[in-house]
Amino acid sequence: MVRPVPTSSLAASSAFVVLDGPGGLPVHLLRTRKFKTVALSWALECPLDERRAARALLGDLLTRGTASHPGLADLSARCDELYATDLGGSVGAHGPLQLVKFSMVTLADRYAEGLDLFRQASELLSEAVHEPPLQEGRFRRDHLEQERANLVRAIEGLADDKGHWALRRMIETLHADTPYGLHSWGTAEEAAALDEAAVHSTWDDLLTSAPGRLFVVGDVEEEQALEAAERLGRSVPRPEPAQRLPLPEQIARAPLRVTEAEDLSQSKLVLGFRLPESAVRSPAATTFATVFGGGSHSRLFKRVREAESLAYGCGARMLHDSGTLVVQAGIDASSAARVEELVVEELARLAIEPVSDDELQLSKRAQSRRLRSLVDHPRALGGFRLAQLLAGRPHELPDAIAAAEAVTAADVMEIAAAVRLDAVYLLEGTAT
Amino acid sequence: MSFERLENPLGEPLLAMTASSGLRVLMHHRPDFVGTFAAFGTNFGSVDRVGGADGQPVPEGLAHFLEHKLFEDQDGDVSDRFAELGASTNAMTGFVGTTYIVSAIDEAERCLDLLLDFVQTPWFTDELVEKEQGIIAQEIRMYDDDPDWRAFFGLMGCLYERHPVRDNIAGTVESIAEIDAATLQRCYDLFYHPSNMCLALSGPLDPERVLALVEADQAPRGTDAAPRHRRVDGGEPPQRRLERFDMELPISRPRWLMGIKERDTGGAGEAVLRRELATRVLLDILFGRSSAAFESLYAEGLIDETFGVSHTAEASFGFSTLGGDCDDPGALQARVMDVFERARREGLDAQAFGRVRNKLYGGLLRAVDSPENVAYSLISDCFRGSRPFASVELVEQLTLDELMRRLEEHVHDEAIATAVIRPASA
Repeated sequence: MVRPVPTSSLAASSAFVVLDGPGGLPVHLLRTRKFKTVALSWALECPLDERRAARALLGDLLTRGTASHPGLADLSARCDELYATDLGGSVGAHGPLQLVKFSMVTLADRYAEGLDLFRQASELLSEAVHEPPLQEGRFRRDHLEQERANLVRAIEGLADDKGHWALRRMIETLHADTPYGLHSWGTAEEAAALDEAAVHSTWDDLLTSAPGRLFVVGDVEEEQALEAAERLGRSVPRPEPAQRLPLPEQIARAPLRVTEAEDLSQSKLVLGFRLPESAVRSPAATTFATVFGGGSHSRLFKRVREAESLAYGCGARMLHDSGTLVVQAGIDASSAARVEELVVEELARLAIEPVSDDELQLSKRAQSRRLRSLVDHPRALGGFRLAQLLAGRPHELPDAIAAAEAVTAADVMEIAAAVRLDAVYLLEGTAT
Repeated sequence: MSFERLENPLGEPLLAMTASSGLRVLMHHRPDFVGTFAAFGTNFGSVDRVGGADGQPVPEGLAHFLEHKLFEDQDGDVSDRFAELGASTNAMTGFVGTTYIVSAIDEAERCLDLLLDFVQTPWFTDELVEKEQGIIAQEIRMYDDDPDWRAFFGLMGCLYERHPVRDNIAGTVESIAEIDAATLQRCYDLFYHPSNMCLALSGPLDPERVLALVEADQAPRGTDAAPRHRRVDGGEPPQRRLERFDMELPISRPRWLMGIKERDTGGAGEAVLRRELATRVLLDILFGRSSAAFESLYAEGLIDETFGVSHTAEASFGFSTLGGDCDDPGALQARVMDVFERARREGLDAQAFGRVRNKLYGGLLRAVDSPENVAYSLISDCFRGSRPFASVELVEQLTLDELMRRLEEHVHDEAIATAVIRPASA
């Protein structure tokens, strides 16, 4: 049996307050002295459209210099002075959205010899975002060209990590011609074509009209968090952030199959499955994925690795934002058909035989531990809350845990029965 | 027997005890944390290739193979028992140590008990060894396709003539084929003695209960001295073995990795740690993001965000690495050598030294927020023989003169090698 969750202590250590920041920017603050650091993240929401490469470029361009610290070395030196304050600008895909995140991690003021480190670090982040080192009102040409070249190379380099690349190719196949199949960095061609005008107008629009949320975790007063929100959001009125993102439309078809060959020692097999919206939004989807392939106690690990020694790893996970279940394995090319057969067999078994109580409890315990351990990881807390809000799932930790606890064997069977294989991608290793 | 409080420069609540068996136990008591993270390490890694006083060789990849096999005993897969307790477990093998970890919330005491139990109750059969050979062979093939891994071990093979740090931690498909149950048992008996091991925890568990649990586990294990073994079969020359390693893989951009072999090895405890810190600070002043070199190389497109520097120091070996993605490895190497040369001529920037120390201090404090980082560093400190969080004090003691001496001692042409992985020609 699963022990009752101590919701009171958990609620206390994960109790965000939501403040109405200037311009309506929601500020999610978790005040705690538990950590030596303070983590802040401003997540802006944009469509995954033709301007995504420009936003990806902005993440790097804006964090390489500011008006008062124009060079990379100047800005890095300032971060060093602020006790290794880490400033970040990044983009990521989340369902049909591109999330643009500006973030910082700094030491709590009490460790910085009386410095008001949070204020100084958030001022530096704000300056990076709003006051880049412009020349005659334009982004510096050298900075723009360097970051553009770096972005093009980074996009081309996505193919170098073969595991990730195989997953990407499967996603592109399964979600072709929809935003769910797009990478948040855009294509190399789109990045190479970026000019100052395009990047500048994207920057203007991002900072003046993109909805978003601010997350702060650490030893920070409400007033300090609101001041940081004012510095970043500049009191610009913004639309409400997204609450429950749409999922891809359902398509029923024979599985698409793509095989590509490279001179590799190991082949990568990636299977993509679609689920109907009701299944994706059910808390049982995660439980099902855990039973199926979430760790060493899962069906796939036991069968593919332990029983047949066909792979070092074989696992399944849910990509909730795109309603996709993914199974990945690194294998010998000659085993691809057998591994696919085993995966499909295990899925079929789960659809017709209720999981045992032991198996269900194992998965629930694993989920419960993952969720509860978030309160020990300051940066993960904000990320979890954002993902849950965007998915329209319970965003308060005790609610999310309770939802997972309530899942039954019948719920898991229902999910398994609704899962449909839709794409099979094999990156075939041909090295001898 | 009781825990003693360990004074440390960060004033963290650290407790320590040594069990009757010789096992060292270190605990970072965090009552405000929900989860317990425990790491049980043995001072036996991939470089330990000489087994016992008789000098019998340990096959390449054995420490890693042993790590895999301990997860299976007469009752099956140990991971399943952790899963039943709602915990997750894993292990990793490095050059100088093997560490088994568990992350738990409920039933943390039972998980700790199980961790101690499974690592100290080996069960090897030839049939199970054969099955594992197939799984590890797949793991090795996965590394074979990883350009960063290939560049790193290509570089190690250039730097080192004889020291086993040059060999892949997981071994090769051929070397692991030679491993059998008897070899595993022989090496287990040599290296998994409690006095060669350390248990480190970070979390809210009651220290008194941890103490009782460890004592109950260790008391029956006796107080026999550990079997003797040597770490290194010496004789490594100070200079590199080869100047360069080249390879092609299906990648988009060349990877360039330069290594500097440590010639000033030896010493123990905090002397080794200080050498590591001094070299890291030196490299950060010269090549960190706030350095003039980083900015100009970045502006010229010779480096990008993937560029990084690091230094590893152990008693018997040490090396620095500098590298990242680069379209013109030859030009980058020449520029890097110019930076070293200029620092020799003109000295180091005192302001940059102050900044980098600030940065290190901030980074060390930040790391304490992570129970995982704390447990791993406690084990490293234990095996190295340094005080926990001693880095905080040692960084403060470093001087510019010391860094200049490090530059002179460490950076020599004949100690430098490079590995370049290029995109395969179509």
